Amino acid sequence: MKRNNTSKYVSFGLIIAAYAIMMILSSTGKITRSMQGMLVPICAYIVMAISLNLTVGILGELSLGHAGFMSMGAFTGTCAAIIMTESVTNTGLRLGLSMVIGAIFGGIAGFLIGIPVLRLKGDYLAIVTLAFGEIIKSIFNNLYLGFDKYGLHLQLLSEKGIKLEESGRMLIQGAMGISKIKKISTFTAGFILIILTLFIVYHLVESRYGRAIMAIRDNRIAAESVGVDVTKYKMTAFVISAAMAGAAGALFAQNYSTITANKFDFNTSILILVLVVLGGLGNITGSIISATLLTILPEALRGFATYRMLVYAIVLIVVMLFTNASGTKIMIDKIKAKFGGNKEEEGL
Amino acid sequence: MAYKSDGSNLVPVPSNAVIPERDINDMPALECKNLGITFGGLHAVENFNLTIGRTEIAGLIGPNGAGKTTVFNLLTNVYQPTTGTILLNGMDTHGMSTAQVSKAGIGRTFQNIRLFNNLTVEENIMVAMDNSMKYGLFDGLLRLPGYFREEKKAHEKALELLHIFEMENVASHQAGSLPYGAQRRVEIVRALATNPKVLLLDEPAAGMNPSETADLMANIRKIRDTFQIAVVLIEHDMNLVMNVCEGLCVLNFGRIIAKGSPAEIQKNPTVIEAYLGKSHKEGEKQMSTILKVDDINVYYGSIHAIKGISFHVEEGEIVTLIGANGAGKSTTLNTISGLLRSRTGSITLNDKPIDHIPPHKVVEHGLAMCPEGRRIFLQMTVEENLEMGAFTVKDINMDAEKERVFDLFPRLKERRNQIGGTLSGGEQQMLAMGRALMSKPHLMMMDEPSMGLAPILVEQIFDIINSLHKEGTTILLVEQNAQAALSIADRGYVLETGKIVAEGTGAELLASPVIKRAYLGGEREEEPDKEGAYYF
Ligand SMILES: Nc1ncnc2c1ncn2[C@@H]1O[C@H](COP(=O)(O)OP(=O)(O)OP(=O)(O)O)[C@@H](O)[C@H]1O
Ligand SMILES: [Mg+2]
Repeated sequence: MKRNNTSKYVSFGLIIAAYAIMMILSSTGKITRSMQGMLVPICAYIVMAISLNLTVGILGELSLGHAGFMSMGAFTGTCAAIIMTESVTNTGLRLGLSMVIGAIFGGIAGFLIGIPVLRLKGDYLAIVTLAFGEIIKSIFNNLYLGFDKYGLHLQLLSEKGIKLEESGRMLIQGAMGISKIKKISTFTAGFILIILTLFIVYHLVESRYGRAIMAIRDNRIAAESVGVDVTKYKMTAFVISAAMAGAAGALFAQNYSTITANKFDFNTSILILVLVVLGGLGNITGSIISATLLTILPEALRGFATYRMLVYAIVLIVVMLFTNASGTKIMIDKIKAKFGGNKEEEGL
Repeated sequence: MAYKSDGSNLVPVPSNAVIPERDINDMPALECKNLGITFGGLHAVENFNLTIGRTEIAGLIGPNGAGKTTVFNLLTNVYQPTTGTILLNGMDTHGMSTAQVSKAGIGRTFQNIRLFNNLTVEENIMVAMDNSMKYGLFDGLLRLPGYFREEKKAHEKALELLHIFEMENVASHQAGSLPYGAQRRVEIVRALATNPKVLLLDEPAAGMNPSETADLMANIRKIRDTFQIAVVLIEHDMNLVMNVCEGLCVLNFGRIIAKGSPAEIQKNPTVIEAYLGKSHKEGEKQMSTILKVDDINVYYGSIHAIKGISFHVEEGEIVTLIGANGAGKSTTLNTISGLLRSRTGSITLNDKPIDHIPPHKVVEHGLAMCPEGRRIFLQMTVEENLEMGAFTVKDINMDAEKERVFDLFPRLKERRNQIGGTLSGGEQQMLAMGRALMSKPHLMMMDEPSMGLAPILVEQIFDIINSLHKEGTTILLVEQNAQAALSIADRGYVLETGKIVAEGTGAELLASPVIKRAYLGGEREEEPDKEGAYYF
């Protein structure tokens, strides 16, 4: 309870400070174009990492298809935004609504997957989410969706059957995905989404729901023995996690003019998992930092040209070793003891 | 518990035994009828009939592997019984989930402690109150007034429950970091937080020292009196069982072999033969330093756990480290085996320094460790577990070593193909010892080998320690059961908060009044009517 607080304030502090600095820099024009372009993806990946941390670090279930939920949110949210182009002219509001819709669809997908899997004991979730990620990708790659004044027209495999009225337009065109997206995502929207995500996760963790969820992670049998309804709490955590990924997907997609299903493949799921593991399981602040650094890193390594991915991999391994080495742990413990020492006492 | 006492010949009681008078008006809290379960071909529990009164304290005792824990698992629907019914306050619990059984009124603790290790003590307890907390997900996420009200209520209730064991001061500590005894107490408090009508305690005193056990006894009674609930406990500590329980039920090979009052059970020849046992023998010795520990200091983060300890173990000796929970005994062993590092000093084994080599290399130097809390490989079979013990040792005849271990522990031979995790607590302990023996160690370190063992097995274990000793194995023994340890040890060291406060031969330490009071619970030993009835 109290012990979470330090990390909580650090998380909020980091995000707010980063936002403030970036806003000042960009208003004085001191920020490069490529950095500017990365702001929204960074926000989206931070939300992805925090939400996956909820499943992996806090609930203790391995999920290998987190990009699938992002994809779900990206496609449904963006489609909704296109449909609302005329009815909701305020872009900020439209973006907000599209993220809500992305979240709802992400949550529904999470719920549907959760029903068969979360009642099972063991690592089935990993397998099923992996399959889910691939299935979602195939579906969106073969889905054709048009929209006109008569409503939505949906067709699988080819767009031949879709005859649109002249004011209508195609939304999803199979493997070509959604094109001509209005780039309405902003850094501020990303910032707000992160803050909301943090609120939800921290409030969840500090409520009876979060306690039960962590209890299940620590010892399922004991949790059952004190009357915790394991399936219900697992589902709660998993659906919230999927919904947050959906919202992040909607934000992410509308930062580009085109979005395709292949952007959210297995590699993306693994990348998000790497963010979580690198930042530390259950460590929200860690997720924020690793998501930021690992999104910037490939850009920063452009100088290495062909060797970029190699250097990237080496950096990953080094960081991994460094944060896990017992020497570093002792050092970190010492630092914590120095700064956190007094807090411990006020604990009760 | 239903038992009939017609003089001294009370053994096997008919299954529909009478409920003692004080409960006759009341419906019993718990009733088992013809309960049974088989695993593969093994009848782990068979024809189990038991009635527990509303405010009764009953004991379930019996040798290791008798099926006691299995009974608890049946009562809480962790296993579905093959036969029979369970009535909780007259309600059939058949088909309920474990969580539903908990809501219906059964609270339990576990033989191998199962706390939510990463949560604080208070959070552990609040998890158990979850069903009585009345706020929804959105109240929690949006921090509506209901959230604060209910959280505050739960917080106060948690502290109130912790007060039973005067543990309010550790409420904000991480549960997994508490010493063993404290963890057991937290488990009891957590079970109480579910508002049970029946409290099941699986070896609550295992790993506690005599003075902690004495407190526990008083507290079990206090819990029954304040909450007016029934308590069923599994325990191998006969002092506790005989003092607290009003009725006893003895299991052997899955069947009830006796029911009755503690006094009756103590005199029952069948029970004495199957379970209680009589006494044990002595060993002898020779010399040359095997292990030398010189001025070690160990820290956990900023906590100074071991403060300059030095001691030595000579060839062929049994040396014991005794001391209260948290005194640093296990830390010392873990430092010797290389799992923890000392900041100063040195550790040598056969004159070779071992304080800077990794744990698996330490094993190659001839040191084997039999860890506390039976850390066996839960997913592997008994045989595979044994093989792991000799894994890093070259030039070893695996089969011969296995046979040697099987000779020492015939029980393991019978179960050679069973998965480690499904062994009973006592069987797991035997396996942990057997595994350590597989590497033919020069020095064998044992952390609490008698924890959670039936008296007859404690005796056997100490016999085995003695025969190993005769074979020439040198032993460093850490024990909560200080009396038993000192009586077989050549020498002993007494640890208190990370320092050695006394040393001497086993006999000297046993006789020392200070030691007697602090670690042996001296006074209670002298109760005349219990003499000889149980070991130690
Ligand atoms: N899931 C299982 N599969 C197979 N065998 C099992 C299983 N659970 C228990 N057993 C066996 O059933 C027997 C009874 O085990 P149980 O754990 O109830 O013993 P216990 O009386 O509690 O012993 P102890 O005092 O050593 O803890 C043991 O021989 C054990 O190996
Ligand atoms: Mg048991």
